[in-house]
Amino acid sequence: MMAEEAVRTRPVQIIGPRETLGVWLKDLWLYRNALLALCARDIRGKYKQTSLGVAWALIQPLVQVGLFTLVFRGVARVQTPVAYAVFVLAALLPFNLFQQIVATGTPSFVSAQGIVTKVYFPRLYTVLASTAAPLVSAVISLSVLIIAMIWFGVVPSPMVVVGIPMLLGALLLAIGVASFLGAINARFRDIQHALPLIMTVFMYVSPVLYPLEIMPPRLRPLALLNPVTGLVEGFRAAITGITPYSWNLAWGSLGVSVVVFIVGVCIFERAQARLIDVL
Amino acid sequence: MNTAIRAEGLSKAYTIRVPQPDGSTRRIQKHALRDVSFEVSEGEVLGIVGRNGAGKSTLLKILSRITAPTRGRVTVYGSVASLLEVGTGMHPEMTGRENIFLNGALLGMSKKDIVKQLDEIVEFAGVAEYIDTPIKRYSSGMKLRLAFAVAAHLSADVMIVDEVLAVGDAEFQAKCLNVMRDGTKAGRTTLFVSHNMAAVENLCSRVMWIEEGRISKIGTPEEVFREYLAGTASGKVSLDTDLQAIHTVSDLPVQFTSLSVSGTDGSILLQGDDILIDIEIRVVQRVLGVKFFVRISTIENYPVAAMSSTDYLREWDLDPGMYKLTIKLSSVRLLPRMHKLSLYSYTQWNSEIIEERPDILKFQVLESDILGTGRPIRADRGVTWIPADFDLKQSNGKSA
Repeated sequence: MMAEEAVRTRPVQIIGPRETLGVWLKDLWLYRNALLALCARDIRGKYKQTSLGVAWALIQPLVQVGLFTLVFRGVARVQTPVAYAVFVLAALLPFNLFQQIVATGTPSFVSAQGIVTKVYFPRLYTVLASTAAPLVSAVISLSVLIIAMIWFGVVPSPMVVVGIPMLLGALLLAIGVASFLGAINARFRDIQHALPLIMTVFMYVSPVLYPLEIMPPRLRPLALLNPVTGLVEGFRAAITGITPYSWNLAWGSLGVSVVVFIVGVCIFERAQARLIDVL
Repeated sequence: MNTAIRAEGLSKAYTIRVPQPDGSTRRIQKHALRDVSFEVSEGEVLGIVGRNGAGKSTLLKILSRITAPTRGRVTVYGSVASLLEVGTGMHPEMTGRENIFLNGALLGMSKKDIVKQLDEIVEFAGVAEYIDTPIKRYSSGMKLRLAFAVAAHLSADVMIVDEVLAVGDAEFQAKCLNVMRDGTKAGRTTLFVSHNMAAVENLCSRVMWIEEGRISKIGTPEEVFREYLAGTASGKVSLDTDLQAIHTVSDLPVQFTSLSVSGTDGSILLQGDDILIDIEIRVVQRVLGVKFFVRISTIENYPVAAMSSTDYLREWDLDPGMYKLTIKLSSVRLLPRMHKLSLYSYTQWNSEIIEERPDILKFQVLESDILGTGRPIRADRGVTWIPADFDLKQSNGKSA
């Protein structure tokens, strides 16, 4: 009798062909230590044996802004409602967050094969862990943005808190896209090679470096299909107080991001169980 | 006894794409496991043996939740820690300390656990001086010790351990075995896969032999190994030889008609087993002063030992008829390798050989835990081995 009772107090784990949603959610919480460790590994590993360390996360946006200001403001004479540096920094923050997560998250499952074939934790962690370093960069970019706003005397709009859901949207969208692409990448490593190219194109077709208004009207619907457009526009408008192309577009993009996140994660989860055997 | 693990009808099928001559690919299903069911009781130490590709790794991966079974299910009672590799996830650029936390967390330890045991882990690994140095500066031995130190401090109700001991030098392996033994003594349920028979025999209370995805046999280490080793000993060696068939037409007065060599129990020989040689002899005419001589040599023809009945002042006067000669070799110190056996019979001061059977039979001596250390004495030591007692004292007479 006593023995029977002892059995009941121990956790019981059932391993079968399929795991339930409940188990999946429980595991996401149960194995959180592994996620934190993977995040630390990503951040620490990234700047080890660099003399400048995390300062690189500062240098990147500064150089980007300097270069883009030179080209778009100095050469192309693009007109913006606020100082170009602030205009572009406010867009680069959500865009870089999105771009960096997709870039590192997509190959993360494949590059973690040495780990995921030897220990168990929710495989989605490989993608989630690759958000850590980009999030650190985003925080650093934010401080650069704040300094730039003070310097150029840009007063934040009363809607500044809307920036948070917009950033969250970029995060969810990126996780969704990285999960989806990551699942394909496990079979076709082509994705890994095409990705940097796609991302560069993506930046130029999104209204990051220029206002959406200067885009030829014929091309505009294309830009609107891209959920990054709404998020970038929305974030920039919220922070700098300029009038966005459309608030509806921003909120719509946020909705799309949530859907992409859910669909992407579902596809990843369905695929990973089979992919683990072919990694 | 409470059940710790219950596996019911576990099957795992992999789909493999096979390229066809016409350029297309055909998908075939390969079963790594077929309908495997077993139970492990709490505190039991189950060894899993089997050839490469037999399905051992797949089973461990299912139990560790790395891959899901195609059919069937496993119920595990209690927390599980699985150790399929040491040092999983360790990052070369990170310091020893950082890697302890990283590896520990991936293996399922909580941060609190690691902090509490950090000093012990560092001491166990013997890397205290270098704990804040990136591990890429470590020697491979140091890295291994660090990795194992973390693993050794894992604690869970059920431990799943794979071949971890296959790496590292002898001293390190002994250390690993000791840690495993401590864990099993503490009543931890353990599943242990290894090719090291001696280690399995030493640690496990029960052994499961997997062959082609199925459980071939499950039982005590002795039971399973006798059968397992008989099947996997290098080359198919029949220890029974019927000499009738190969006996040339002979007018010799003494003829060996059949020969068998066996260990003290069963048909295989483990290192340290006594050896029984049974010979059937037909005598066709009366012979006086018959002596027997048996020689064991390595497969490379290096003589190891020869035993003659004259050494024991034994000789026989034989009348025609059938006889059975049994030679029992005790305190045998053969090394685990293939050996050859030669048999002779002669009379009268070695002058007249009346029957000779050089290299009539080959037999394999198999590794065993002869010294009780979990490690066999390997064949590369020489042709034989001698028990030794190592004792070191300080000059003042105190034990070191």
